[in-house]
Amino acid sequence: MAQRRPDATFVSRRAAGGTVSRGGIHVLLVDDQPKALEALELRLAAIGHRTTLAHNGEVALGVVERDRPNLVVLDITMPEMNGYQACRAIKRLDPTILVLILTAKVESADRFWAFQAGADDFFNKPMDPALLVQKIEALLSGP
Amino acid sequence: MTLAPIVFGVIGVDVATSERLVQLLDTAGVMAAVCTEATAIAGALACDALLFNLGDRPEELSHVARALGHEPRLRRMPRILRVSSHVAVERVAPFGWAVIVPTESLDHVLVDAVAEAVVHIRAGFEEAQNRRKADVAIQASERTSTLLCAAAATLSHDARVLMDIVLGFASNLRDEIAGPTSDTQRAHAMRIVEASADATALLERYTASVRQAALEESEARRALNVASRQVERRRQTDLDVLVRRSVALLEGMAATKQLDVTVSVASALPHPWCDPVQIKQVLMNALSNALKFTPAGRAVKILVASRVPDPSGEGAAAARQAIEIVVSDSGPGIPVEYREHVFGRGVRLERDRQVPGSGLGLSMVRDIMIQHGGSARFEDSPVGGARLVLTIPSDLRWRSDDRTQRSSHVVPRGGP
Repeated sequence: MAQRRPDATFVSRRAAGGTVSRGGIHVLLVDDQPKALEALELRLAAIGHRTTLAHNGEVALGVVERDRPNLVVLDITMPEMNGYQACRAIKRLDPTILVLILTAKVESADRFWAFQAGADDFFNKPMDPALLVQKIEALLSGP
Repeated sequence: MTLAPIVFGVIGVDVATSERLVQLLDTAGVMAAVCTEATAIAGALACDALLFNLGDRPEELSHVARALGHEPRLRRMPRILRVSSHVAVERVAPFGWAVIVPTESLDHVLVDAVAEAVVHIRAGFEEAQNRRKADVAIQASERTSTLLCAAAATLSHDARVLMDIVLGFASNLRDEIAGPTSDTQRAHAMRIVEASADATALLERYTASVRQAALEESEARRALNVASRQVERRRQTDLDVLVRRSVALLEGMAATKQLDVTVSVASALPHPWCDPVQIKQVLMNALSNALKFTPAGRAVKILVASRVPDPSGEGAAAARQAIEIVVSDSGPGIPVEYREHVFGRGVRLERDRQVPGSGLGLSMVRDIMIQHGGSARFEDSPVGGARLVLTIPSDLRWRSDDRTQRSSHVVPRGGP
């Protein structure tokens, strides 16, 4: 797990399609490949969101228990505890935490089981992080 | 193809006659060996066909019949009975001899009967050999299909993961997430974004076509295989016996989980024409699924009953006499939208990844039931859990003429 703070003083005028940053948002990014969520992490940091990276479901659960992030971006294919199991456990701990599944699994069954596990949204990789940030903002601002 | 020699076992109480018969067959080019009383069964088992020389001593039949009764392979072997013509036919008929040759007839009658049996056995060998070849080809095709599909799925997954990283950083450059970029640099980044979208679309088309081709090839082979062998193995089958045998085979699995397995079979059920081996496979697949998905200590029910024909129902099948086998479990059940999906080849619900299995069991169940003119489907269960309904027509008759009966005696070495 690596916690990063945005160190860039530069915040792009184009960041996230012009989304206005709202302070105090904590996004937990979970993927067994650290590189996979780096671009998204930079973009979230650029608009002022706090991000935490976890490389598997169990580490993610630890972060959720301790820090209660506002939103979790969750991969499915991970060793030990997969995304569905992690999603179910997160929702059991705190149903108000939003969970967004981001996976390279493209079967319709994958989408079905993601929502069965309590996910709030589901997207396939590859996904433009600009679009993903819009979806995250939309989820955070509520229905 | 080299022809393996076919050996006739000659069994009889009169050793001198047996030896004469062996010589006779030898002269006619057929290998034969005397199986004396002491070695009758062991010797006979090593042969391809049997010649019983009972002469006018049919009392020996009871001894022979006992031996046959204990050895299924002997029972299936082509058997010729040489018996005196004054012995009443009723006395020997119940033992199902392929051919009966009177002792009084000329030697060539016996030689002809033996030669005919040899032709039958050779045909059986050839058929078995062809089947084995077909089986090997089909297995290879299945393996290739499975490997191709798995490779396509892995490629799709891994390439998407990498494409996501490419797209992510290109998008960040385009949107100046990590710092200001020139117009040209942003234009380049946009090209990478577009190219990654094109690559993803290409990948999707490629994996879909690989999967389709693999499935089609495998389906074609399976259809060929099924058509060639399905009808001949069918016979009137007692489902009660078949269901109970299948349950008995899975008793260990049920006991480990302390499951309460109840079987209820309606009385006076018709015996449908079906391949007992295939239907047993269906029952084993259905039952082992039910046992797998039922939590420890809960119940699994198997119900076999005649279905009342419904002339007003949809399609011709609804109006036919049929037997329904219903397997209900107390597991998590199958969501309505997945009840058709689960019959697909290689399909497994993500939820069940932890449960061992290949995703082929249910597709096999449905294929076999359809080949028998029946059906397999999941229905709503009033008590929750999955409820698999298998239907098999009970009004069908396949040919059961004498030729089929005779050829069923011809079982090649090693069995089919």
